[in-house]
Amino acid sequence: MFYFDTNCLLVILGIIRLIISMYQTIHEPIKVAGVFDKAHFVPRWFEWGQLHLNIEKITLVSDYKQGLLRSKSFSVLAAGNLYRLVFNLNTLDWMLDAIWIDG
Amino acid sequence: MPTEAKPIHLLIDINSYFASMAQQENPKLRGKPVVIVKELGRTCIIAASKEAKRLGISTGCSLVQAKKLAPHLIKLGAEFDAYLSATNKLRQLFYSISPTVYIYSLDEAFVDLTHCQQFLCRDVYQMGCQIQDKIRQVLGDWVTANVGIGFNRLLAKMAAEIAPKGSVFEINQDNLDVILASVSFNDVCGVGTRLTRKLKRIGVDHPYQLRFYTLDDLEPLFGSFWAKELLKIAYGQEPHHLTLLPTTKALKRSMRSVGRSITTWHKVATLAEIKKIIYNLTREVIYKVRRMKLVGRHLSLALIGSGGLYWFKHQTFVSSFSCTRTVVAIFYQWLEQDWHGQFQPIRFVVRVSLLKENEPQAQSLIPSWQKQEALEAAMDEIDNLYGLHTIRSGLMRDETKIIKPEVTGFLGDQQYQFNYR
Repeated sequence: MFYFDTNCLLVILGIIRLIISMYQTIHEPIKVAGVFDKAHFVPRWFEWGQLHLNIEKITLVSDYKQGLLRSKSFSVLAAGNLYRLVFNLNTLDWMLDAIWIDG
Repeated sequence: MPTEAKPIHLLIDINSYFASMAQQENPKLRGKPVVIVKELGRTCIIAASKEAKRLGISTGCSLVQAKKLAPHLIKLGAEFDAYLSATNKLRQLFYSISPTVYIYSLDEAFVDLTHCQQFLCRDVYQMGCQIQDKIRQVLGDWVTANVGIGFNRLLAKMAAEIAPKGSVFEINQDNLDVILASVSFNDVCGVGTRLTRKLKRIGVDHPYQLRFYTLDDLEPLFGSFWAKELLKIAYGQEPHHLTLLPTTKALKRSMRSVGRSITTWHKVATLAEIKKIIYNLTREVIYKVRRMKLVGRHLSLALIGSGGLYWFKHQTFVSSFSCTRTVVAIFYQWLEQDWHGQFQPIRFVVRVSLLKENEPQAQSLIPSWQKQEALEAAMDEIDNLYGLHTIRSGLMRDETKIIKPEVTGFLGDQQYQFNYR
């Protein structure tokens, strides 16, 4: 005989929600335009396929290194969503790395 | 004659670092209970946001327990490379304030202002507030930090521990006794839970109470080392382990061992699989050792199972090692001789210690050793260019099963991470 108490149900609902809220890897090339401000590149908009998105805010910038391969990740808010844009400093390519999927 | 500068140490501790960084990156997570696990699928919480902490969720809590406390909990995998990038920015900021900085862990740093405070700001409390502002400028407006101020590092750390989140607090001669009489041992750097329990058993809950004991009273209870250390803490003096923290100049020489451990997703049943994991971890350890131009002559290997099952072997050798194949061969020999599959391990630890600088040596006369060294050097060159494990042994064919290098919260390998990576 199976039965659920409230705690158990809440845990299951929590798990379902956890599965939904996450970063979804995209890893697709994009076009990015921006300006240089005090020797730092600041992305202003990007094009992902047919989609043109203006960047409202840059929330985090991180520098990554793997061997001599360096990249810079910009977490940006655009059209109310969070996007991770990655600039490969060796190949000078831009990539849309991930999108936040809301629960 | 110039007067000697009054010592001033700061301990800067970023509040709920990993979770705050996740919330800084994603404004949708702000104000919500967020927890970080090492990677998605793991169940041990390694960091909790301020909101999650308010609900009773703490580091070390299991996900099941946490979900009972907060059903709408948001779980994220750790992004150690992003944290390391942020710590690097903090490190640059701290070095812009003082030349004497010690990064204590990914989210904590000691800054010695003894000789530079007079040039920066008359009021050290204001200085602490300015540092908080600069941290917000560097990492983002959601990230807050505690700044503890003291005339030694023990008190600076204690001040940061007991200060309310996002505030600056100073322990000075005026409030020292009051603080030592009220602080619990959980907030005293270097005193662990076992020692705290032992102290509680004799009715000591606060460091100040230890002043009523003599060395002779404490020695039979805690041993001669801890008796002296506890008495130092009772008077707010720096304990031995904090005096050992290297200064900036000494940091390059401070790496004494390199280790790597991993908890696998499942218990490992076969010797072949155990060997693969050990090879993988050893390659990472030796790569770091070689990158820092070091050699080690003490090797240790531990296999840990559930329920406290443990297998450990270590040995100090006359000659030093810096070759993956040689070290792996020794580990394999140990396994074949002494490991009888007593239990199925889930955690693996590999360590190379007694490190010293690799002095130029005469080339080996044994052709197979020359070949091995040339091969290892070629592998290093490729890995230096494209990242560790770009070129690897056939044992690690399956890329999805490779244990990749990662940064730990304690940042024990900071010399490698900051200077050689």
